[in-house]
Amino acid sequence: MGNTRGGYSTAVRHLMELLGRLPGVGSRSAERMVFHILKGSADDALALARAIEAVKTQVRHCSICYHLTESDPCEICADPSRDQTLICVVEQPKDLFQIESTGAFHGVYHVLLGHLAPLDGILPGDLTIDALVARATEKSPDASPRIKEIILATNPTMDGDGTALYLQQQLADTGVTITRLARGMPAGGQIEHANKAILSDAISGRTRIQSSQ
Amino acid sequence: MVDYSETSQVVTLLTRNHGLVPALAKGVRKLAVRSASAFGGPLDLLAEGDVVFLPPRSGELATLTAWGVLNHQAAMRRDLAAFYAGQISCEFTIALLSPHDPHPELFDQITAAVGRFHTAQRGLALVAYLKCALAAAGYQARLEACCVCGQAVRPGARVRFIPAMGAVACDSCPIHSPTIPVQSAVILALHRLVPPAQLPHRPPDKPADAAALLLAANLLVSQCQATTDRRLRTAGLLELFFRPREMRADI
Ligand SMILES: [Zn+2]
Ligand SMILES: [Zn+2]
Repeated sequence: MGNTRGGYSTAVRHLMELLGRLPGVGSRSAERMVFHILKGSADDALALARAIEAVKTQVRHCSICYHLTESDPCEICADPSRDQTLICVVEQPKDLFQIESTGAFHGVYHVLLGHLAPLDGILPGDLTIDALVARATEKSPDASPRIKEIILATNPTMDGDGTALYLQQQLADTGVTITRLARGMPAGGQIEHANKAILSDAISGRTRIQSSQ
Repeated sequence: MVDYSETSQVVTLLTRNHGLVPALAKGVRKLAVRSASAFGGPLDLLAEGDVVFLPPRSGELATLTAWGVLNHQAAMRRDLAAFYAGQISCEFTIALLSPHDPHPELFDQITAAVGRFHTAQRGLALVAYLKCALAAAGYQARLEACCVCGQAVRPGARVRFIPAMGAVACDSCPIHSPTIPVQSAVILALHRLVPPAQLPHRPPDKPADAAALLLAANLLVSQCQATTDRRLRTAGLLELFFRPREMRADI
């Protein structure tokens, strides 16, 4: 309500409306974008249109890890230099990008495409949990589990933690080592300013740095 | 206590003195790392803390201005059954209470229940809380006598529960609403069940019958659904909560 769009042609109004549905784009920004497109070259505008078409027609989910990819399996799953026996489970592709950007992880991933959120009606069947359990159940030629370790890197929110608990239960019989991301004090943080949740996590998740003997 | 919706940044707070408060929480997503701000600690589902909010100017939405976490339910985060019970209690409370209607006693009961969800008392605590929440909302179930003929419910008898009325009736009395047949033992046990805060922390000598508790919980859920005319999304979790994986025959 409140925005006056009278006087615009049907095509302009339609584009404004579509752009206005994008996250973080209000009607004012949508209007500015449309004017920018109208003023710019036809080549630029068509390149944008083709790029949008390309991501929708060429990008899909990897059939192994459910990451966004143009080739199936994705580059990470197909990379022989990565440790294919170590799976990091994340909620969303954007979490995968974040972990990749650290350069600290050399295994492969599994993207759940969400987290359990019973209050929002999101249950295990809505996630890629069955595919993860299937991956964890695969055997090597010598009948040992092909996967050695699964890192549960869901968010440390209540729903993310609940999702990790559910996965832990589902994966219990596979014989695969299940780990959860550490949580607690960030490097550079100060105990004096830490909130109680972080501090109590840091205490319960403390790690041994020297053995007693 | 908080129901946190990721997309809208609208949270539902259950406050001791103001009841349910739907509130806008701007910038909540970044809370965990910015503990020096007015928001101390993540504002997460079922987290308990001190809250400051501005009352709504128009409509129902208050504005959250400060939050300090006191309890982020560490035990619930390590226990799948406790997680399920937390979700069920949360939805049940939001379904039954009207915003800005204070229920300090219910606040104390959900706190007591949540504190027991990771103990051997979890089943009793959940059913006791559902019963309390219905009573607080004005729908106290009438379980001691038939709502038609007034005859006391007798041990060993078969009775029927009437979700729309939150009442019981003998097998023979005429009832025009849908009913659920149930053994009177379940009804009598539910009638005697004390609020969560009065449950001893120590488990009872004889463990509670999971099947009877599941049935009792389902009766209360059906009452909640019939009264509010809305389906509880977490109702399916009851089965998982009372019958953990290792006890189910189908897996
Ligand atoms: Zn892949
Ligand atoms: Zn009767």
